[in-house]
Amino acid sequence: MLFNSYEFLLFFPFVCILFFVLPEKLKNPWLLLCSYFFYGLWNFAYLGLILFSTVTTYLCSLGLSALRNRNLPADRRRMKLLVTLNLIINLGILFVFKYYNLFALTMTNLGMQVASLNLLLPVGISFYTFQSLGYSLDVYRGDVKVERNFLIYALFVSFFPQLVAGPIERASNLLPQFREKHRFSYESMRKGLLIMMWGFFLKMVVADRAAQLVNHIYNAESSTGFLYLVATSVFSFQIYGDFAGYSMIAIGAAEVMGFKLMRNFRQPYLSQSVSEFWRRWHISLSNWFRDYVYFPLGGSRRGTARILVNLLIVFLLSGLWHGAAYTFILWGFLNGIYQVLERLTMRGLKDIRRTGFKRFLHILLTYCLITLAWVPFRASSIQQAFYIFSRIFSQSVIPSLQGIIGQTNATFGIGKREVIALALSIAVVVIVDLLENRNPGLAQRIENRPAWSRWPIYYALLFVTLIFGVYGSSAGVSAFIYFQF
Amino acid sequence: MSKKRSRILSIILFWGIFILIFSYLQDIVIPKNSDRRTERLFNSLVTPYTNAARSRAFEALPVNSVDVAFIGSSTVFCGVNPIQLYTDYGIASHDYAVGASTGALTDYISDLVFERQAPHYVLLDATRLYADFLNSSVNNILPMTKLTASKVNLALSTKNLTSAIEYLVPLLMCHQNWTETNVNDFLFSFAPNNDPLLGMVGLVNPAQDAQPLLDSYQKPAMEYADFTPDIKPVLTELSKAQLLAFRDKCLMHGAQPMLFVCPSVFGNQCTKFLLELESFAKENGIQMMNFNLHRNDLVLEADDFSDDHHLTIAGMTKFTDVLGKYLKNACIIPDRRGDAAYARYDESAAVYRAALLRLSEQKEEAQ
Repeated sequence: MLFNSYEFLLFFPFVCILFFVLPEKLKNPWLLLCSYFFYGLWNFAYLGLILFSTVTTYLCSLGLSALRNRNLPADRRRMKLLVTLNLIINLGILFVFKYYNLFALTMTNLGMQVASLNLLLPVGISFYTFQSLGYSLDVYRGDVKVERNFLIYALFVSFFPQLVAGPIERASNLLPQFREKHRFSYESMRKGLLIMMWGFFLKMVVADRAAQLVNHIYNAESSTGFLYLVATSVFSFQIYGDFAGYSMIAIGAAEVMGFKLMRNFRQPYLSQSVSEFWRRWHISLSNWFRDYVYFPLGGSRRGTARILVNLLIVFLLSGLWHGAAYTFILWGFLNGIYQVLERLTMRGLKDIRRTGFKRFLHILLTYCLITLAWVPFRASSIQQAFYIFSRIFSQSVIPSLQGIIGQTNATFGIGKREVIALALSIAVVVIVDLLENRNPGLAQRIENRPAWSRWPIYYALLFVTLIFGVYGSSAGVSAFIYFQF
Repeated sequence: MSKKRSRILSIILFWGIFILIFSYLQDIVIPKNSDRRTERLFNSLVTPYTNAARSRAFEALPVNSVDVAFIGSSTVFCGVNPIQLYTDYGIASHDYAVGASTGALTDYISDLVFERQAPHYVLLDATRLYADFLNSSVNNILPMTKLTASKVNLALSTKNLTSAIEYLVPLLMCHQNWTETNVNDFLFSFAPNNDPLLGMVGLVNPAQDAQPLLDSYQKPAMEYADFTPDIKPVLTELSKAQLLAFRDKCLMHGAQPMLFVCPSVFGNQCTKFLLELESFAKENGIQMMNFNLHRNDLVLEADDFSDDHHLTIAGMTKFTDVLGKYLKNACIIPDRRGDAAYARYDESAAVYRAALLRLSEQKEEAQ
């Protein structure tokens, strides 16, 4: 079920109403049932997969806990074996469903014939696999207590707001919340709905309109460097609107029911460096890689050369996590290289608080670097990515404004009014991010206002999304980009 | 006032205001009767929202004033001119034809007719009875119609949640029309439905290459010519069931059901299907009139065809005249002209006559 579908508009209030009406002991079973239904609407067969992942990580964690409690010297090795087995099983499933065909293609390209599999990629498999692996690794390290209640653990893995596209929650944050009492709270509902509305705006008004323009230019056989530049810049807001939109809806939906999910985005395009960008973009995944890959590799404690290698490894893995294609690996590699260069050139500057024009220049430079890296992320193949790079750097002649305005449909694939609406909606996103970046943030300031000044904002957000959003039978419901990961 | 009570009140107030704004915006984005937006001249009747024009005109007609109702597809609204029937023959009629209509849609449209009117005769376009499925033609009419029990039934019959919700909440279906709205949509959103020509629409320009169309029309009845290879009208069991349901509904409301076929090249080409349908209709007590087969009084020329399915206004005028004579002879229909209860129709007739006069003056000036 997609958040931006009519089904969800009926599903969510129904789930919430029953959640608050039911007695405490039935709340978790109800949420689990709803979460499985939510996921099952894509493909009921893949419920087996999520259940299998849940059972294996649950049993592994119970085993790890038992071994830890015995505290025998030989059990340390057993624990390692068990956690390795768990990693192999779960990453093995991920490999078969997500990476096997890339592996087969690579082998075939190298001259070894390997047959490909005709498997449909289960929605959100990378998200729930990483979440459950994170939990078992936490148990292995003794960072969290094992969850013995299978029902609660299954709900932790499959909690519907964040099941298919994150945030990738940490057991220490989410698991205890399933043991708390959840009563209806007017404040939580109001706050959650506002977050959800902003998420819908980001997805339906910004991302899906931007997608029409980006698809038109990227799907064309060829285009000018300038148009590729425009499309890539617009794509930077499409992917932001799409993914941050999903996270917002997920966080808002959970908030309505009284659950606090971790923040996944913090105005990423206002970052002054690439490393700061990665602390603001897909925070839950960045933290995951930091805690379970970067730190175990030695983190920043083993000298400059090792740090740089670790960074590259993390970003190559992050690229691979996003998709089984060379384009994503190139994207990860570019971001890794950015970070390496940043480490080498800006080491002494990281604590300097920049202000004014200098700050603006750093933000602009970071945005340009990140946006260029989006080219392989969006490109359909590595060849197209290089072709677009070559066009951008060799043929970015700016055409006349009159020519563009006169032929918006032919140039951008959308009409003049839609181009204006898209530009305005992107401007709104930038302004909101600028205001949210202050202390207190925009959302906080809105919440503190009296109703007469809050309501116009709510209505504006609702009706702008209803009228200018891309949705319904005429447009088709477009899935979130990160579902494929 | 307790905090709890004030919160409940504020929730009710918030959603109340939401519904008000929603309704207003819905009125802005649903397709319009373009008369309300631009001055419409008789010789420039091509409008982008022909279905909306007639739907809104239907809403504006006095209740229970229509004696003859026409249901069908664009062949009908490009072939029958209700205001001409009234002006020349005193027949109070309305055509509620919907572009690309299907047999299934007939059921809903007939419900709409009987909700507001008590016609003596309901004439159903026979050429679309083979199209059994509900398709996008529904979108041509649903945004403009009011929320009634029959609309809910139609929405539920789709068995598709997206369609059902959009049928019932037109803003969701039509929101993308914001790309076409202009300031007049806002200015006229509160204006009453007052279409001077009772929703008459028509096509002005003849087909670019009209002579072959006329040749096809004049040839003896054929079976599906090359230019309509995908359309093969077949009288299915579902079509039969729909026709019988239509008959029963009409009889239940005291109306006489009739089938008719407007002159068109396409109508001429499905003669086999139409003869089969006529035979079935007769067996079941339904009269059918195929005007493609009765051409003694109707001489169409090349300029009368807009394409293989539709007549131009010139062709419509000729056919409506023949239809008026036929209805006067075959049916018992009172002449409503001058009747105080039909003042709305008389006003429209006056507008229509003035438009005709203006048209002839323009022609004379041009000569």
